[in-house]
Amino acid sequence: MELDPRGQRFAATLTSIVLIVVLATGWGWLALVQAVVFAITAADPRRGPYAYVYRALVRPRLGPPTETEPIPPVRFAQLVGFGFLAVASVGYLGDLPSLGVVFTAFGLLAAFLNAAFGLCLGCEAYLAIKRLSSAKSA
Amino acid sequence: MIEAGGGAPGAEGRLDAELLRELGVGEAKATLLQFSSAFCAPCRAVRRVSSEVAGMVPGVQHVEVDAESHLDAVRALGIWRTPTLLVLDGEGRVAKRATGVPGKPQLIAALGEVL
Repeated sequence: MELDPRGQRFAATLTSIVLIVVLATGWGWLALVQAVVFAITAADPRRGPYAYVYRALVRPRLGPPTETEPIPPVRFAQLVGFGFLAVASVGYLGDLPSLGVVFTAFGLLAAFLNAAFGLCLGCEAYLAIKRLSSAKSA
Repeated sequence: MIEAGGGAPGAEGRLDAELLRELGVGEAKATLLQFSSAFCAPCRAVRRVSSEVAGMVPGVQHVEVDAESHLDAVRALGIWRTPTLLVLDGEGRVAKRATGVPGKPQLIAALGEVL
């Protein structure tokens, strides 16, 4: 089972919009909602809330995809997004707004790169992180 | 993007025979050695291009390695990103190195310098 890559781009666009609103308003509960969306999508990208919106509203207008993409990179990227937004929500809701702003901005950067260029920042960094983290434990 | 082989320690000379054996690189006139990871979307495109080229050009083998399970080799070869594709000559020297998805013509041209 593979994914329609246009659905990921669409989800990343929605995510970018949500995160811009979070940055503009400093609304911690919205950051938490986005963290939950990331968590659900990381568990199963086909059941992500934005995937339902895509299938209901966008995909019928586009027709079937010409190419599909594997699921593990998408899940990993969503997990990275969840990490950022979980910290951001703790920041906003725990009265540390600067923490919220910094981590929401990280999340926005990653989501924007994905939406605009299809680039998965977490996937690019994965091997480097693995190299560095296992060097420490070795 | 395909660059000259430099950058990795030992890029000037042959790679350690032990290292190549560990990675599953057998004897061939040229080897396309691909480093992939589970979370790498473009790795599949590199696999497609490389195996097509290996099927087209006689004497060329394509070997794909999971970078995460060969971190020592990854460090020794100076690899930071997946996909990275190394073009090895018949003696086990790194002739070229490509990160990202190389075009088929570029890859064939790179092999032309090796064979």
